[in-house]
Amino acid sequence: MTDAVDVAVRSVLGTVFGRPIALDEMLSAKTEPAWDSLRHVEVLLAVEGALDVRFDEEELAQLDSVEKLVRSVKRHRAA
Amino acid sequence: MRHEIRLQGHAYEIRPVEIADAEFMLQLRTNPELSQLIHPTSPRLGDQLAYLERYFQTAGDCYFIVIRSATGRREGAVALYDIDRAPGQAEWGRWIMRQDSMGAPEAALLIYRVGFDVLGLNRIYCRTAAANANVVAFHTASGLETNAGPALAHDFGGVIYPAVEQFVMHDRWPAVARTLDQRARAVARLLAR
Repeated sequence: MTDAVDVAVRSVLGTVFGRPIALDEMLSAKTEPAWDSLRHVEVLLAVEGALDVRFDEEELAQLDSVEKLVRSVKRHRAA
Repeated sequence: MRHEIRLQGHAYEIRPVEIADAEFMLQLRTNPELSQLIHPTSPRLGDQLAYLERYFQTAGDCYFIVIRSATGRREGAVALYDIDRAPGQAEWGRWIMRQDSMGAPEAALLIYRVGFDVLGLNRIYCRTAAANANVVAFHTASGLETNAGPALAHDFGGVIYPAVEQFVMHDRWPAVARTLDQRARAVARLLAR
């Protein structure tokens, strides 16, 4: 079953990185050289804006993969 | 060397390394997640203290601690070294930040400000293990040029890694500053909420 948050986060990341992010791609800062500290700020702002969430300060630096972003977005929406 | 350079940014500041920072620096540099592609560090505090004592005696070497201004927490370290006034150039590096820090863009901005604005240098370069792809990408995205000169290599504890030299000349500094300042401001806004 399609996970709407996962799809939305991948769409945002696709815009930031300028390429489609397939649903089975385990995208992270470790696998994507362009996900550097500058781009990380872009990622956070873009995901927050597109999915209408506000990440906690303590998690900002650690949200460095699709999986972590999706998990955090869901947690914030459930709160 | 002992220096008195302190710079304030939007959310972070840098101040001179002190002997009391030895344990903090040791923790950073021996963190397995952070230390894969940097020069090996002895895990002994005594060795770190001796290293800092040697550093204090080394001319042309400015080592800094990166501080989150709002909390006073130490979040990283960065240095400008091999400062050569004749050609007006220096290397920056020894850059290491806590994994939970957002201070990387501002730390870079501040170290360039030290080099170009405080010391009046003409060229600042950095050498990064090519395998450290995120850091190479960071410098490229910051606006640095890549040196197409002879191949470089880092020797990290007997293991040789190809390295990349990237640099910025003084005339390109304003553009690099704009890029890094924009990100540093964005980070400050994220942290100020």
